[in-house]
Amino acid sequence: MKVWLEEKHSFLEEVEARSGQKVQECYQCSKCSGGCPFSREMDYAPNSILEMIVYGMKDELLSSRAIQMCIQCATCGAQCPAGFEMYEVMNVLREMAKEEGYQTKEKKAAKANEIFLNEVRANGRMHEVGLMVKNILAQGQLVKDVAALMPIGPTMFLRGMMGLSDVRPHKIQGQAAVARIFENVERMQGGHRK
Amino acid sequence: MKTGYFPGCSLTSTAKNYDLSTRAVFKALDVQLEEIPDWSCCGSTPAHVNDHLLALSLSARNLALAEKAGMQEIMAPCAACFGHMRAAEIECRDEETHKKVEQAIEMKYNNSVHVLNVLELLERVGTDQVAKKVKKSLQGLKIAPYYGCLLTRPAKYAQFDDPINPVSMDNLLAALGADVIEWTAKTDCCGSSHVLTRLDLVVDLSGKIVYAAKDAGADVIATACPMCMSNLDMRQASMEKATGREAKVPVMYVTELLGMALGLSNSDLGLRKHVISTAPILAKIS
Repeated sequence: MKVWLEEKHSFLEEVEARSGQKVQECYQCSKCSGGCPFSREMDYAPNSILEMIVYGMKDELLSSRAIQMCIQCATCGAQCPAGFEMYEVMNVLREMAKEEGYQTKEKKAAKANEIFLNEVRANGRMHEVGLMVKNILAQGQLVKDVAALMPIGPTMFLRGMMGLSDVRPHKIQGQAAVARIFENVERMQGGHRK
Repeated sequence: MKTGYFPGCSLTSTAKNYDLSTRAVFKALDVQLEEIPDWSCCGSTPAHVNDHLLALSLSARNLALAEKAGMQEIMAPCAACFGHMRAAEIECRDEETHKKVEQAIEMKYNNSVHVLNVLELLERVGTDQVAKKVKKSLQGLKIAPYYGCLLTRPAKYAQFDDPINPVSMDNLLAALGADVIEWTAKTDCCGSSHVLTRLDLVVDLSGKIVYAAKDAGADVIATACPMCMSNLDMRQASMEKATGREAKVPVMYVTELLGMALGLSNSDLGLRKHVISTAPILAKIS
């Protein structure tokens, strides 16, 4: 279960309390890093991150690419002989980075996530075509992204995977209620969400 | 007892065949599914990586709607919807979290709704009962059962099957007469939503899964996740370009394979809605 901390704590104490993981008890077998599908894309490997927390290397971690690459596939947790849920540590580091206004080195993923959430906020549901088009336009690699869609786009239309009815978003009745969830969470979390 | 149905966003768009086949299969098995009125997005990975409370609240709105509609359990075929809503179900048992979530969704929620995935609901029907209704055995069809991540992980939320070597889909497919193969990539991650920004990475990760199935002699990969489907089925041309090796491994939803075995029609199941044609699979069992 999550812990909502109120008073001041050290970096290590805060990570341990909020993630529910006893970071100091990791014995550095590195299985989490071996199994992580994204560790090769990370500036710090998962097992190193645990060590860095103990050493108090907060600035390095909260601005790292590593914490933005984790999407909680939870392979780390399934393989850990010590019973750690490493992904919970990643979740907490990402939350802290946002709360404390750290700039991330992984801007593209953040942009895509923002576009996704804006679709949900505006329609109540995620609109796949809207997400795809807006993301391609926002990422600044138009030619490459369109080229990757060329072999599949026409097939998707021909085989009925996508139709004209998918082009426009379908707003649900409760769209305003969903938009209010975003507003409420922003207010409750102290306005650190953009 | 009626079971609430949460199709999720993908099943109304690129994964229509998962929606069609899920509805058709449960109808054939006499399980009544009722769509949650005015359901909204579960928040998926973008909400999860953005804000924990937002993720829980977007999912919990649907649990509260289901509760209001008198549903005690709901089934979400999409592995991501299942994972995120099951997380909300479990985390809302904590009093303080529950209070914050109710405040965010501006709805009363009494923690009374249980979230199931598609394999759990099929297990409830019973493999023996399903086997009795098989009209066309899948005998001779070599299937690689692919579970991906969120059906079984994080284990503390999913509380379903084994996070490293799950067998529930294996057992179901075997009961349909299929030749279920042993292979190495059963629970590997396809790269998921990184497809939006790191296509190269997803082509590599998903390619390893597709080629592992091919190397193990599979005719088809079975999945229960629309995100995995999209990465594995739609990106095979890019995999071929990256490796110089032919892929062409059809990927099908477990409900499509089950529907075929139950003798349901191809159009009722949406079997043509794939980039890699499923025609060779249909030819094999008819």
